Amino acid sequence: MMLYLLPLMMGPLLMLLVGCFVLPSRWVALHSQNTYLVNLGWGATLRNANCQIVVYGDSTAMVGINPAVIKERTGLSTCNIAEFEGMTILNGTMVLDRYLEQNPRPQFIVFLYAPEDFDPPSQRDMVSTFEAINWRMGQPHKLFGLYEILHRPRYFFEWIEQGWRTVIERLGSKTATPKVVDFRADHWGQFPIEAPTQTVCEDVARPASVPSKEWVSGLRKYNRDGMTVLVDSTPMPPCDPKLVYFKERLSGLIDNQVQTIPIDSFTTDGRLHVNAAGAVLLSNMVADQVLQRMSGNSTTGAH
Amino acid sequence: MLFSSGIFIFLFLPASLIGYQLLSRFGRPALLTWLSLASLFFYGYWNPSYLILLIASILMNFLFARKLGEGRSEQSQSRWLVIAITANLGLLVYYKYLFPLLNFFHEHGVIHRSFVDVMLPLGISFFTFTQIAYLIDLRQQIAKRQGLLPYSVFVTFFPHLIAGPIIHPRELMPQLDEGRIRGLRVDDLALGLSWFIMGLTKKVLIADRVAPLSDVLFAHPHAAGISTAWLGSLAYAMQLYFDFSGYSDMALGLARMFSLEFPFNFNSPYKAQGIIEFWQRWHMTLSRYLNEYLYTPILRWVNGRRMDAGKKVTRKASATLEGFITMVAFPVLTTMFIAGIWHGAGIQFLVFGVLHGIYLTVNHAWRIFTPQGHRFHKKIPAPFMVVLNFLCVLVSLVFFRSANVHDAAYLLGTMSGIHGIGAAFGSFPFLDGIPATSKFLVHTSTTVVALAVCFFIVWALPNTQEILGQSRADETRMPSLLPRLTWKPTAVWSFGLATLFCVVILLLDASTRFLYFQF
Repeated sequence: MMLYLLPLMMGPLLMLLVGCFVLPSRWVALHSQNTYLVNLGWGATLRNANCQIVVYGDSTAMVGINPAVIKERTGLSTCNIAEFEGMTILNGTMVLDRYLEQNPRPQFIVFLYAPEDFDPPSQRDMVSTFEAINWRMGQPHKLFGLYEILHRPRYFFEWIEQGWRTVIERLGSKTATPKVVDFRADHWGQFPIEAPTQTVCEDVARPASVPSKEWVSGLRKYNRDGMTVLVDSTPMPPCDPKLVYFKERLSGLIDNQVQTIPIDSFTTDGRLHVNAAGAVLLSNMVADQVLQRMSGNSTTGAH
Repeated sequence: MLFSSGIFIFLFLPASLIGYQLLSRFGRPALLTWLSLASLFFYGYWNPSYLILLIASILMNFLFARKLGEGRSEQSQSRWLVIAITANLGLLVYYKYLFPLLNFFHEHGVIHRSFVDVMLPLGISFFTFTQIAYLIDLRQQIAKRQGLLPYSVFVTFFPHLIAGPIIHPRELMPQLDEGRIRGLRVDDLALGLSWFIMGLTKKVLIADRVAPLSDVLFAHPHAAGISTAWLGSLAYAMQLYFDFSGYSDMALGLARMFSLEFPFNFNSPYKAQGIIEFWQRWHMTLSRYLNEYLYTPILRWVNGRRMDAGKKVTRKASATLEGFITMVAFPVLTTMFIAGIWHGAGIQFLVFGVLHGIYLTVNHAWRIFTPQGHRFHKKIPAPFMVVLNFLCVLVSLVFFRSANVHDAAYLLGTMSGIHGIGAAFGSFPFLDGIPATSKFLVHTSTTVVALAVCFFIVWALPNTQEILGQSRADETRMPSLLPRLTWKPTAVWSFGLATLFCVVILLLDASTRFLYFQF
């Protein structure tokens, strides 16, 4: 009878165990042909990259910051290593930390988040949790990562379930093309998206969030070793129902004000994801801040 | 915590089984404490605040129980029983009916204020019914008064806490006695786990896969043509059966893992040839409950009044029109009316109950006025009876699932062709709401095949307890195409079920709540 029970009990457990090794593998990412999954944690793969400005943050930064625009304005080479929201919520600044370990220190680190993401715990049920766990489990110290993830076991099981389904669906498919594999590298890290232009403000009831001072203080700790930190909020369309709330809440906490840009600068795909025109506005906003700091530093230096 | 969730399968269940086995050396009190704590954790995981309600309900009924049973005067017991039942029903009414009823009055202009519905505590009907049964059985001296520990296990034991089966004290209590309750037994573990996997398969691989079609249909009944209305309604009939019977199988399997036995809750109801037989096979423990605690007292009351009036209460008397109306139709309709209300605070549930009351009354009339061996019986083939019975149930399920009576009536109108043929199934505009894990439901051919497979399983295969060899000894197996399909703890069954288990686990994140959790 014990022999009968063995496959029943061990089968599912083996599936979990093997999943922890198979799902985060490069093979799965490449065969998924999913541009984001293939480029997951791109910033952490860079070595000896010369990025004088590093942009980190959530998907609003990943989609919206065009490094070419910033470089053109400031003369400083710029890399966008931002990730989707789930990556920043579950893994915090791990990608940035890995980047800093493997590359020369940048002059500026620009953190850019949607206003809601200044309170990461409130947004836990948002996007890309699967990718976040997949990346984490692919990092060294797997057991420690697993321990961290199992604080919220539902995410872990959903990752395994969804991951194995992807593997089965994609078993016979070809690997991703070089265009997909190098997508972020070809754009200096920006992940531009093509989606219809937004015409009306969203009416999604998002979870309530109160920006966390402690969390922002944590970002400012990178203000060391000659690096200057800017903590910014992504601009919102003037009709956004949360605009007034976040203007008040983020005032004094971040380095820009919660600015507004026209609604036709945004796409309908995702929260505050800008289109190409919006990316120019957003990147110029960051470039202006950097230039301001640079002139401030040089003035200080002159004295 | 859902039975069909990774947290339950990989964390809670193994932990509760291991803890149970480890504590078995410390005897009955340790085992009962463990089961009770594990069950409270299971319940509180959903919403810790309602744990207080559950505990308060247990304590309240435990104290009421002290006023009932041996050593108490008849008058005092009757008084306390009325108080206890009123208190239990009051709690149920508050959470389940009060605010929907006030809002119903508000919608019809009777009162000016609207109210926010309170969240319905999971399983409140089930743990309330279980405890009322205990109190009545105590009053009737069928059950013995229990200590707080076995009583709390009886009420909270997690396999039946949320959605049944509704357990009688006389079924579970003796199994918790000294000498009967002990650690895990490997043969029960093997049987219980196999049972659980079969139930999980019914839920995740069948019910949850066909559910999206019924969801989109019942959300937009006015947009459906005749084919969509039929396919969506049939999908719901299959969803409800596989969901609830799957849940019940899981509950029975889980209990068996702890070497405890629960009563069956389903026994191939769609194979029934009449509505009386259907209710003997569908949600059997609820039917039994209604029969013992509603129908029988009503019938006794009716019979008492007839006898007081000098009328007969014999079988022959019920074959007269007057006798049939008072002794059959009235108790049946009243019972099913209340059963309908129990299912929810909406007129559609009431119609569902009344409809079944009428079906049952007609079925009783058929049995009484055309007794066994009547020439009509020989002329009607069994498959016709099965299909007719299924169609009657299907009509009632349209009310059961619809948001209101108007939607249900419209949908039934569409199914009967009153609104014309309408748009083809493929043109139903809301099919894009069907998730990727049920994409086969967007094409007519694959939807028909999927439903045909469901019908094959319910009509042509043996049911779970028949496959597992757990049917009662005095029960004859229902006809099936695979009468010899019997589970054995062999390598083939082990690897087969293990594979099924793994496949099901891959779809757990696409699983939904059990339908009966809302009741």
